[in-house]
Amino acid sequence: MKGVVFTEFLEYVEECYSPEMADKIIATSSLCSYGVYTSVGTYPHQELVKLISALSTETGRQVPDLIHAFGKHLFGRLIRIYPMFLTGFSSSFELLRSVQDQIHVKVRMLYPDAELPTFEYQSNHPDQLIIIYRSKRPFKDLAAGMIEGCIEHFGEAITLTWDSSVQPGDAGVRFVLERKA
Amino acid sequence: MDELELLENRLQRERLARKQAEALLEEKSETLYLLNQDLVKLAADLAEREEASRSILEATGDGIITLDESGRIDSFNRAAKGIFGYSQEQVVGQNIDKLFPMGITGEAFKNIPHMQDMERSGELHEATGRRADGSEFFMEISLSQGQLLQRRMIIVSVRDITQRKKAEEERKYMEIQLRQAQKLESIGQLAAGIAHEINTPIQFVGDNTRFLLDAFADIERLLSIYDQVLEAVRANEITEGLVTSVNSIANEIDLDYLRSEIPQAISQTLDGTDRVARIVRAMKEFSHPGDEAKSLIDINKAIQSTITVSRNEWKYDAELETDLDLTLPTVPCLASEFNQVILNIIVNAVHAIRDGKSDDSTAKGAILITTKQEGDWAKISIRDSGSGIPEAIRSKIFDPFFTTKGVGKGTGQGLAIAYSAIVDKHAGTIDVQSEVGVGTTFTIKLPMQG
Ligand SMILES: Nc1ncnc2c1ncn2[C@@H]1O[C@H](COP(=O)(O)OP(=O)(O)OP(=O)(O)O)[C@@H](O)[C@H]1O
Ligand SMILES: [Mg+2]
Repeated sequence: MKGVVFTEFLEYVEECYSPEMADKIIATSSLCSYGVYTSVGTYPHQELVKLISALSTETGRQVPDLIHAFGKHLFGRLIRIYPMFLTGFSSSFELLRSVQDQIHVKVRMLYPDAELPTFEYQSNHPDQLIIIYRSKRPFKDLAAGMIEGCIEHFGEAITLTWDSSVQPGDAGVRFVLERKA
Repeated sequence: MDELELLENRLQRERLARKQAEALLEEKSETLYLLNQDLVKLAADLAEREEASRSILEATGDGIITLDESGRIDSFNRAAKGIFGYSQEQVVGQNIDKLFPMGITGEAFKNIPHMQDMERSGELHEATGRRADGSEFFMEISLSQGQLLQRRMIIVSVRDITQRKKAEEERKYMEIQLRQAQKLESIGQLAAGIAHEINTPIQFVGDNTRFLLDAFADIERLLSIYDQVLEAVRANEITEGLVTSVNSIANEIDLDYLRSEIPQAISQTLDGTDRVARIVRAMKEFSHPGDEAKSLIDINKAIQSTITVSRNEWKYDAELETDLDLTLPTVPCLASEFNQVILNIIVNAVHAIRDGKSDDSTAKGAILITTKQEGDWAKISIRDSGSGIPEAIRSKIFDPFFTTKGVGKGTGQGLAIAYSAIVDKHAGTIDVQSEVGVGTTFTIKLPMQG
């Protein structure tokens, strides 16, 4: 997993909770990296799972909720760090539709070995977008949070629902975005 | 946990993270450097390969022109410059039609294989090219295509074949000359035979005429004594002596003999002149000077005259019989060509008969010429009882210059000429059936509707 997720996560904990909280979850998670992350590095995603579990223990909040909330925050941060990904898009549908073929392509230019999730788009209506999300890692909540962050960014009235039953035997998650009338 | 400890922890992490980032940066730099090295080498390799391709392109004797899909010229190699007389700058970017006044866009480009079909290499087409100076020339072009990254490239390979065309025409001209020579040769040969044929009647016409001259001198003597008898009768002075003189002169000149011989001599003379006239007519018919267009001819008559003029060729070796269908309609035909064919086949038949004859035998061979109508065709067959044609060479006998005869005896042109006359010029057919030791039959079919 890209280091930027880790550095952003620790900053997020420091901001939303406290520097002590960040220090604490690092200390209790027994990490190979000892909590040392640089945004250009790559680290095992299990470390993020450990950190979030530790945060859950400390705060009493559910892990999925925590990931979801972080996802939303992460979207806002990423568009601040990489504003070029935003240019030319005027709606969340447009931006989301560009993830697979534009944004991920650019990410690969910087990090050829990045293991990115795949996005597959379906839609039979202009006010609806269906994204089939597939990833090797258990972070559909992170994706959901980021999608919500995106909707929020454009200030649109869109409902997001998801379910895990794309097809029997398919580990993908289906996100359904519907523009409210 | 106190504030200081916390800050120290964070500082420690930040420092380590920075080192990590620096290490990553160094690693990336190294990778970049190595990649760059590879790229430099690759570029050099490519440049070298490009240079090699370019040298090949420039060295090849064929003109090579590449086009884009719309037919615009992309490149033009050195040979192409030589062929067309344009420089690279003058044609690049121009449409290919500039070089092909008749437009290869029509015929030849139609055959450009479909885009996906990259394997196919072009067939050869003949086209007319136009040089920078406006002159036109024959060339052979072949089209193929290459797929570049983004587009298709059409490759036109051009060869100037003016020289070859010229050589071809020269060869054709030589062939015609050669044929003419063969024809003259056979006429020359025939002439000797014909001289012989004419000699016999001329000789006995001469003999008979000399006989008639002598006979007339004798009869003149008789006539002058008859004059005296006539005068004596008028004067009524006829004497015994005068009658005796008449009798003795009639005896002296053998009047009875003359009376029976003179009419014979006259009719033989007429026969002789007839024969000469017939040969001369046949000769004329055979050679048919100067008719280049087909005319309706009587095949039977043509065969007869050919038999007549060639009589001296066959009469010592063969009995020549005919079985002609007299109802055969006239056939559109080049008479002199046809006669030549029949003559060539007769001469071959005679040679084959001589060839098949044992040295001590005096028996003659047989040649039979038949004509017959078969549907829309006039069928002519010429059968001989000669040596036959071995299976192994049967397929070659119509080839120009194929001969089994010794030097000076055959040039191997007779049947090649026959083939081109019958098949090419008359749209007919010529076939052979043969059995070694038994004989050979040539069958010619001519279409009755030219
Ligand atoms: N009637 C035939 N019987 C046997 N062989 C024949 C007969 N006609 C042709 N051939 C064979 O075919 C060959 C080719 O014949 P063709 O008439 O073309 O040439 P040629 O007679 O050898 O020479 P040219 O006719 O030029 O004097 C002959 O050399 C001979 O071997
Ligand atoms: Mg011959």
